[in-house]
This record gives sequence, structure tokens and C-alpha cells, in this order.
Amino acid sequence: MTKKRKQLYLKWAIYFIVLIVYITGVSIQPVWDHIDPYVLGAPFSVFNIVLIQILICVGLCLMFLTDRRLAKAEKAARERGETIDY
Amino acid sequence: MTTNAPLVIGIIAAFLIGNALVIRKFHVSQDSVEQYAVGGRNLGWILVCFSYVGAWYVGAIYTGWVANAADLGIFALYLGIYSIGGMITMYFMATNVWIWGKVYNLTSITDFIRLRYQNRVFSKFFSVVVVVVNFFWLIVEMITIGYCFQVATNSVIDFRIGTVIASAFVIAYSYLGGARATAIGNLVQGIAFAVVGTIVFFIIIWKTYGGPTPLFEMIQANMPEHLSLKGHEGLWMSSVLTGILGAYCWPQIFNRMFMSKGPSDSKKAVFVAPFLVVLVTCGILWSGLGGNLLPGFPADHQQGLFWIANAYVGPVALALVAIFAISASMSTISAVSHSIGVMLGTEFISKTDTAPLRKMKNQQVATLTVGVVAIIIATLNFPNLNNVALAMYEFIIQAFVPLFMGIIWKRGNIYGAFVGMIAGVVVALVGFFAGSAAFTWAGGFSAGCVGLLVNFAIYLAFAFAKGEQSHVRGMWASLSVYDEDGEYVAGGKEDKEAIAKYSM
Repeated sequence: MTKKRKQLYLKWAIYFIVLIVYITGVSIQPVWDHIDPYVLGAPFSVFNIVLIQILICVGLCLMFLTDRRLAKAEKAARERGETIDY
Repeated sequence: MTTNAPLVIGIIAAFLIGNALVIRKFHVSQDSVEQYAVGGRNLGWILVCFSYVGAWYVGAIYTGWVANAADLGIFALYLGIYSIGGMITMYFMATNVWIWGKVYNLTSITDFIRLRYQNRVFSKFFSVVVVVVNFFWLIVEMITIGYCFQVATNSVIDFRIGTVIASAFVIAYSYLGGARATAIGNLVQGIAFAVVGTIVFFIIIWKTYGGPTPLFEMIQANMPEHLSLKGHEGLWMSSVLTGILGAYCWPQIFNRMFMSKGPSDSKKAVFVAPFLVVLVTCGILWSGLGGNLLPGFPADHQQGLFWIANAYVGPVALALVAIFAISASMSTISAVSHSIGVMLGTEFISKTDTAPLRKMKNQQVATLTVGVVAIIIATLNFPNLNNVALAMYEFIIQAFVPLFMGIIWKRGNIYGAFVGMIAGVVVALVGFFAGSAAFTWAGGFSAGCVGLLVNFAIYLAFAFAKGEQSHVRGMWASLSVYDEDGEYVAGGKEDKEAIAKYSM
């Protein structure tokens, strides 16, 4: 794995850790039980769970796209005979 | 449940025949270990993607999880979060796992463990833990298939007959067609239960409750506690965490990373699989959320989804729900029996000098034997097997530390991996036999989570005390040999020597 890919993974790892900490810890705090609005037709508790899932899905897609761009850049660099940092 | 049994049986039979025809059409004769165990590392991303979905989603979601949704409310939705979270761990492992698989010809999770820690005793211990844990799920899924037949056909097809017919069919194509057949089966079954299923379940929600918003309003008016996680905080956190961390420790899921044409093809699954997960989970579990408020809802909540489909939409919907549940079970049975067969065939039946073709035959025989033994046990219908299978998550996550840390960190070594995993399994065993009461001091966290922490601490301590094993340099050097598309790109003399030294 190249150094650049490691850096990319580190950034995304932080994003996902924040989401998972939110859904496992923050989302179950009692304060949410007092917030009862319906968001897009669902109670906030349900909306919250679905929202986190969507954010993880979108995060994974964006991560793949940036990863793919990096892979193409690495391939082009190799074809030019440049050294890749591992 | 009163239903039109001949119609339901006809629809299920047509689906099974369709399945068999598709698998037969794409059958490729099995002539090497690589072909049988990992489909020749040549599966496209769509096949790999549905393989993930198929291997991951169990039929018990349509029975046990729906019962949980009816009894516990939104707590059951942790299923969706950890299923998607598991894709994150896959993403971080995929590149290294695929390249090592290609370079060292790895075909299973235990092959990787043997390569990474260079210790056959540990790889055998690891195999025993994951095989035992997985075997319970294999039996549960076979029982689920029989249960679906019995409920959907109003007992015209007995539970045992349903179990034997469907399971034997799956074991037969796993035995004959290996990884490729399981992947193609997963594609057909995955499209059925994930794509068609999602549409059908949202129709069921509209027909039964008038849509999601009336459903939630009904629950809020009558059972508001079902829309809150209050009282289950610790269990919620540990369920999500154990699910996410354990996701890719299941051998049948891990194996999928070896099957693609390159790391990129495994990763590309993130465009489809996680979105399907959201839709499937919401469709199925929301259907069951308000079950307790429906007049006539069966006392056995596991029948809930079948009853709702039949009562509010009709026998065709009932047959479709049965097909989705049977599909999910079939996908899991094929993936689990095949991956256990590959592990046992390599780790316990073959020796290092066994000829490749003999090794493949051993894997096939192991797949068949595991399947037949599981069918026999499933027909005995042991009580509480579902609960035992769920408890297995506590054990499988102990594999996360040596597996994940071994993939991303050079410094981890055999001492930390072995001692840490034994300690984690022992703590999980204490929780299993002594019950959750023995871990109330952990604030609702399960014994498995406590074991995981102990496991992790020991792994770190030994990593810092003893440092990396000498062979890992070769492993990490090999990571520059293939690119993200799985194309050979480099490999200087030094790399080749290091790789050759530790080839399996």
C-alpha cells in the first residue's frame, strides 16, 4: 500500500469512527427522547438511525472514488517510470 | 395460518428450479484448488457484491429478527448499522488481503492466519474457533429453511422435509461448483431477496399500515417505548460494535475478498451493497415493528412476517416472503458450508505436500460431509439454537484482533495473537455459561466486548514487548507486486526472494 493511500485511509477512518461513536454513544443519550419531531415522515430516533447508515454509505462511495483516482494517478506515474513511495 | 398451499408450493418450486437452471448454465468444471476455493480469483464486482450480500444476510432475519422488531422496537435496527459498518472494515482490509491471497495463493481465512503468524498450532486453534461458531449458524439456517416451508405451506410440507430438500440442493451445488456456484447462487438469491424483496416489503408496509408515517404514529401512540433505546443502551452499543468488528471475521465473508479480479472489484461493492442493506433492513424490520398492534398477530412472533404478508396482501405475497427467506438462508448455507469445507480440507485433512488436485477433492469431501452432518442435526430441531447462534458473535469477534491487526500492522506477533485470542475466548465462555448477570459491572457491555478489550490489550503488550516477526517484511514487500486492479506491476529481486521464502 502506498503512503498516499495510507494517508487517505487514515482520513476516512476518522470520519467513520466519528459516525460509529455517534450512533453507539451519542444517539442513545436521554436528551434525544425529549426531541420528538418527525423528520421526513419518521420519528427522530428512526431518522437518526437511517441517517447514519446513509452517511456511512455515502462516505464509502466517496472514499472509493478518491481511492480510484489515486490508483489511476499511481498507475500513470508508474508508466512514466516514477518511483512510488511505499 | 390459512393459505393457498398449492399456489405457494408452486411458486417456491418454480424459484428453486430457476435457481438450479441458472447455476447449471454457468457451471465450470472444478480442476484446481484456486478454482474450487476462490472461483479462480476471477469474479466480477457484481458477483462479488451479491456474494457479500448473500453470505451476510441470513434467513433468520425474516423470522427471529422480525420477532425482535415486534418485541423490542427500533433496537432491532442495529442490524442495518452493523451490516454497513462491516463494509468499512472490508474496505480497509481488501487491498492487503487480495494481494497476499494472490501472491501466496491463499484460499481461506486460516490460510491467511497461518501465513501471517507462521504457526500451525495457532492456525488450527483459530480454525476450530471460527468453524465451531460458523457451524451453529449453518444449522440455524437449515432450520430456518424448514420453518419457512412449514409456515408458508400451512404444514403441507413438513419442517424436516423442507430442511432436507432445500439444504441438500444447496450442498449439492456447493460441492460440485465450489465458490463460483455459490457466488452465482448468491447473485440469483440476492436479487430475489434484496431487490425484489425490498419492493415487496414496502408494498406490505403500505398495505398493512398505510405507509411508514402512519406506522410510526401508531407505534408512538400505543408503544412509545418501542421508538426509544432507553434501557438497552449498553446492549445497543455492544451489539453494534460486535457486529461491525466481527463482520469480516466470518470465514465465508472474508473469503469473498479473495474471489475478485483485484482489490478494486471488492471495494466497488460499496456502490451497491450498503444501499441494499439500508433498504432490506428497513423494509423487513419496519414491517414487523407494528406487528403487536395488529389484531390476530401470531403468538409465535417468528411467523409474523408470513402472517402479515398473507393476511394483508395475499398468498402470492406470502409465497414471495417465503422465497426471500429461503433465498437468504440458501445463500448463507452455500457460503458457510463451502468456506468450512475449504478450511477443513486444507487445515485438517490435507498436508503441506498433498497434491493440489487431491487437496481440492479433500475440500469437496469436507464440504459435503459438513453439509450432511448439519442437515442431520438440523432435523433433530434442538431448542434454543437461535440464541446459541446469536451468542456466537461474542466468540467470533475475538478473531478480529489477530485478523484485522495482523492485516494493517506489521508489529503484531504470534505471542500476542495466540495469548490474546485465548484470553478473549475464555472471557466470552465465562459470559456464555455464567450469563449476562456476571458482567453487569461492565455497564451493559457483553462478555464478548470485555473479552475483546482483554484480547486487544494483550496483543498490543506483546507487540511492543516482542516486536515484529521476521517474515512480515516479505509480506509487506509483496504489497507492491500488484496494483488496485490486480495487475502485476513490480517485484524486484529482493521482493521475489522474500516472497518465495514464505510461499505457502
